[in-house]
Amino acid sequence: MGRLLLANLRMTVRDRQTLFWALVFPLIFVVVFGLFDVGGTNPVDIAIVDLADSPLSRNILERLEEVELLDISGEHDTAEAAKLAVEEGDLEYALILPQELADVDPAAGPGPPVFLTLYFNQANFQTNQLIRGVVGEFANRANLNLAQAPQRISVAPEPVQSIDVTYFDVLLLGLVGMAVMFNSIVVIGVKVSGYRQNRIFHRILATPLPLRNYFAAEVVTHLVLAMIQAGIILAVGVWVFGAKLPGNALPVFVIVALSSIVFLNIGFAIGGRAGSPAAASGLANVVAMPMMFFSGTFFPTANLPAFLPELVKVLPLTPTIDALRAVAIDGEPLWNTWPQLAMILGWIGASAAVAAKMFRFN
Amino acid sequence: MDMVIEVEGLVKRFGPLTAVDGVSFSVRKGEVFGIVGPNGAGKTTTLEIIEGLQPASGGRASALGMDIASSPLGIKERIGVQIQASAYFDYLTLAEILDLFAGFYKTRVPSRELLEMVGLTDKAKTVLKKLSGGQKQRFTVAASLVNDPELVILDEPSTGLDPAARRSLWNLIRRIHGQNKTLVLTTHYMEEAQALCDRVAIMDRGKILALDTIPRLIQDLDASYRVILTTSKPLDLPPDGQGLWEPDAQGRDDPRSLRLKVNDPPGVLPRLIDLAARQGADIHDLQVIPATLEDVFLELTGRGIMD
Repeated sequence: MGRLLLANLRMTVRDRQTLFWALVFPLIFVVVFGLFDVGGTNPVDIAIVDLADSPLSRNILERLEEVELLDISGEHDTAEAAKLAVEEGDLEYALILPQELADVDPAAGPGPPVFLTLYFNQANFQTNQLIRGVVGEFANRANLNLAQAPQRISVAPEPVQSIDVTYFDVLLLGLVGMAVMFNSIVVIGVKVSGYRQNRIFHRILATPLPLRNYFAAEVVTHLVLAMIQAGIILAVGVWVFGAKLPGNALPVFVIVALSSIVFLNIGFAIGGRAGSPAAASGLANVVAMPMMFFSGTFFPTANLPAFLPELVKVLPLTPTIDALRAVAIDGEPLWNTWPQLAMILGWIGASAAVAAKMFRFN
Repeated sequence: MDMVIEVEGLVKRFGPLTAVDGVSFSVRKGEVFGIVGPNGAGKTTTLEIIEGLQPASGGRASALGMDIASSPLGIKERIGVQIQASAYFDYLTLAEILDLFAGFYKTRVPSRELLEMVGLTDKAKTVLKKLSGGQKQRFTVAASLVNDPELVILDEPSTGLDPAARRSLWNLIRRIHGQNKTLVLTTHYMEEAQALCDRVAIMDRGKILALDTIPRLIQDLDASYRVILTTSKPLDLPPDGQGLWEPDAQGRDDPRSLRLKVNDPPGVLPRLIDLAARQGADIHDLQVIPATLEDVFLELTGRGIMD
């Protein structure tokens, strides 16, 4: 058993393809998301064309300049030039303060409405809502000032989460779950179907070694691999890209180990039936890809249409990632994730039964 | 006499197909026993039942005095197996594979000894895919010896090898036999069986058609020699052959070349020469060859083994 384990680890280390799936592939995601800083909101380029050049318009301009989110440029002289710059993608937003703004006289009481025009590119869907809100807020405040109404209600922002959770932190745990899933399903699926095709199982069956020892060695090898994998991803995320994970490492590894068994079973089921390693690889990806997206690796899934959110909740990767985030980010103790753990344990049983039923030596 | 394998009325069905159809035979201690037959004859299935890889649908099989169905592990411990078209791990060296497999047994032979025996000492730290076909095959034979087995079962050991590699494998098999081991091998090369086996079972379509030593199988033919006569023009032979010869099913490609089944060459040759002279045909070539296992197979099945 020990020899088999050693031999298995040796083979895994020498098998470049396995190593790629296990380590490099998820690390690419970590590095990409780490470098792009998808969590923070970068300042947006906005041009403000002040056609009014009145005390009111200058006041609006000054206040907008105080907003950190906005990177204001004033190099466009006309509304047309600014609009063109947005159209051509040189500029993200253009706000036109029209000439009519100069005619607004606070002392003269209500007059005809004045429209500030905001040009924006619909492709920037992530920031459009935000910028429209910011600009709208300024318009409202200007209106209130004009009406000389006292500001009775305002928001005092106060973050309640004791720690500052970024999207990258959340993503990092999703990547751990994803990596463990891919490593287990794809690598085992391909390996097992290859062993069947090359009749290596027959050769092992011809020895007195009980086959369960072989499977046990395979499972242990991959659990070790999954731990190393999770460790490397988290280490790179925390030490290279500054992710903040206040939780304890031990529960993370417990969850990784348990969920890895589910995915190994799925890998055994696929590899135990697929006609060739190539077919197993395809099938494994068909199973793993949707889980990667639907189980909330990259984005929340609560807003999926129809019955999908309910379906997604029962996929094995979902409780895995949920539990990982709970213990690592929220610092919850392991037993607080018992609903997720129960679901993972249920999956271990179900997937083992399926694997045993699907498996064929020939 | 000690029997190493005893098989009685063995049957294996795969759905509607009967792959092994009531096979019985025994293998004696210390002999090289061959099972010859075309692809699909049921050779591999028979071996896999003996190796404990497949359950039989009917009949009995025992090896080394143990019943296979009831004590498969005891048998596996003491036999060595080379599986047809089976590979080994891609990412382990030869020595590592041998040591790993040896670890599955109670009796273990050091990998160095095995590699030396099959002439692969310098490849100990090489991976399998870097070996030639002949080297690979010698390695799989070495891998069947990791537990110093009393009985070695080799399934089509020389399939796909070039003639030189095949000779080298034959020498290896003879050396293994020389270590007081009993060998069972399957092949569809008749000359391989003839070169290696003390006794052969001829198998076709799931049944054993004949089983004996090769000289006796050949002797039992109606005619144990073949005469090949090539003349300048086709000869007109009397149809009955006067009880001395019979036309052979093989070798009808060229009408000027006759192939005859003959039991008494000294009596037949003068008549043939005389016949040719009377019909005004020059004799270009005249060969007398002893019948081979191939002829036995042809006689038993009515077709060549490669057909």
